[in-house]
Amino acid sequence: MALVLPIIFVFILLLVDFGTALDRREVLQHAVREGARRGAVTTNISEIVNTTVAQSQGLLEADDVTVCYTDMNGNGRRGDPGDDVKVGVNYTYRFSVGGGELLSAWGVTVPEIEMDPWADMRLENSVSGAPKC
Amino acid sequence: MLNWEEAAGKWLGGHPGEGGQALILMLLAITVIFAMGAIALDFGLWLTERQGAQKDADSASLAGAYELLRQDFADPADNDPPSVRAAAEDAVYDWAKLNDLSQADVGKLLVADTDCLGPSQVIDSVSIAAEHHSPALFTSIFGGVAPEIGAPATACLGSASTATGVLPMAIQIRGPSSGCWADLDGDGKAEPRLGVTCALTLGDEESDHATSIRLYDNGSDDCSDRNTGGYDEWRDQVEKGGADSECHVYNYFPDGNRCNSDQGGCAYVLPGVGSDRALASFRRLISGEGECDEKFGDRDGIDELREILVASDGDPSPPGDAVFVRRDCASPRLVSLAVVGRFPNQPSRPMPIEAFATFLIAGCETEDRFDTRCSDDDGENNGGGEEEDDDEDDGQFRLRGSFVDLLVSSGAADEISKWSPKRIILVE
Repeated sequence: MALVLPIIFVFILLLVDFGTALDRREVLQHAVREGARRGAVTTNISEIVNTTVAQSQGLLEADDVTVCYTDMNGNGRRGDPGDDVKVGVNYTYRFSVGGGELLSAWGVTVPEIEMDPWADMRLENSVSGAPKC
Repeated sequence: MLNWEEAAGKWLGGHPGEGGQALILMLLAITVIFAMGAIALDFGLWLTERQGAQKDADSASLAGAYELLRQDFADPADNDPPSVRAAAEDAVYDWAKLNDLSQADVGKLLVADTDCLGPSQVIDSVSIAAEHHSPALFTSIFGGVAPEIGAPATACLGSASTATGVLPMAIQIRGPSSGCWADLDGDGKAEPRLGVTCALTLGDEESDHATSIRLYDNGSDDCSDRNTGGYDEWRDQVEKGGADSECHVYNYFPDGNRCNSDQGGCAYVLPGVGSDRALASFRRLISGEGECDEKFGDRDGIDELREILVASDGDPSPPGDAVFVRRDCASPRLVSLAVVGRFPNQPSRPMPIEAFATFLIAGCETEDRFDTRCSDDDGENNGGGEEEDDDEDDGQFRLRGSFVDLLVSSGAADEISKWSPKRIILVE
């Protein structure tokens, strides 16, 4: 019993960590989706970043968000209506709720999960100075 | 020599013959816990995939709906539905691919005229179901199979809802000549000249272009009668930007013969509207503007047409027949007015509404000056506070601006008109 209980305990804590990681990923996907939709209808890149950050439940800062554009209609200009706007984020989830701390106490490297969801939407506005993807 | 059961009972403090029961229970418990954990993890993964699929479906369907803007709205018969569908489907696949969704995973693609945002003569909707594939990482150990993960989305094209309400004001298009309307299509009936700056005269009984309409009073006369508060009600409605109180135009497209029943479908002349008090009410109406200017304009505080609408092809100087898309902002300068044929000679006569037009208020013009903020002659009261000269009633003024939309009475108010700014929204 004394041997098995810690293993179960660590397993449950790792489950909690995994669950939290999945929740983070859902939040980030929602944030990039909202940011991209905002990007489709606005001309202001900072507004896209602000929307993404605001929808991330505090997970992201402005520096974590990238916004770029692709010329889809082949006219050599990016940011025309009908072109593509891409909103992506970078976030590293480090196991910490319990499993991570236990693992580090035992000298095991705490696992990290890199998350970089993105979303592409079609522009409905023209954007000047659109950065290239 | 002790056998296993005796040894276990001795070491664990149990009785001989009971050793191993806890071990079996523990193994069972561990198995159950692991199974539950595995299922929880897999379900979490599937839910994440489901959200990703929804994002992909939304993006692809919106991209396809945007392609529908290339249709000819003025003459729908000139459209080639197969090529429109093909272009929309290509856009769907392009944006699906950009979101890492293969063409094979775009299911139930339907590009059709479903009238999802009101009657239309054009193809107006794109529906898809995005399919994602997620493995059963742990559930498969216990014999589980990953489900089919999909998410549907439908994007629709329709006319923009141009104002929060109907400004309780009517224009007559078969009355005194004006630069605001003309017989554009040669059918003998005048239409607003869309996109052309003009002025509506208020308050002059001889040459009115516009006046207030009688507001539905729900059984009492308090909404329109000048002697019982109707004028103040009208003014309050203007300041709110629409008829959204108990007093409002009730039946937008009435049967003309039923106007005498006074169910609100009729509009009546209310003389003397064009006073400085009305000027003040317009000033207060547009005092809340700035969102469109802040988001899309030069930040001079005034919402202008180019800051409210954008040509769908991005042309900065679009021609008059361009297809416009409403920007993502609201402006009190964009109001809906009732269109009537001609004001009756006498007050309180039926004035059936023929259509609704969307008018962008550029400013107010008095005898000697034009002001974008509709301030009074001495330039005071720009802040929208109580004006000092409320009791004075010193004549007419002109409302300058341009018509940007016309919803005709032949159909529902949401019908896609050839002039109407368009909107693309997700309905599913």
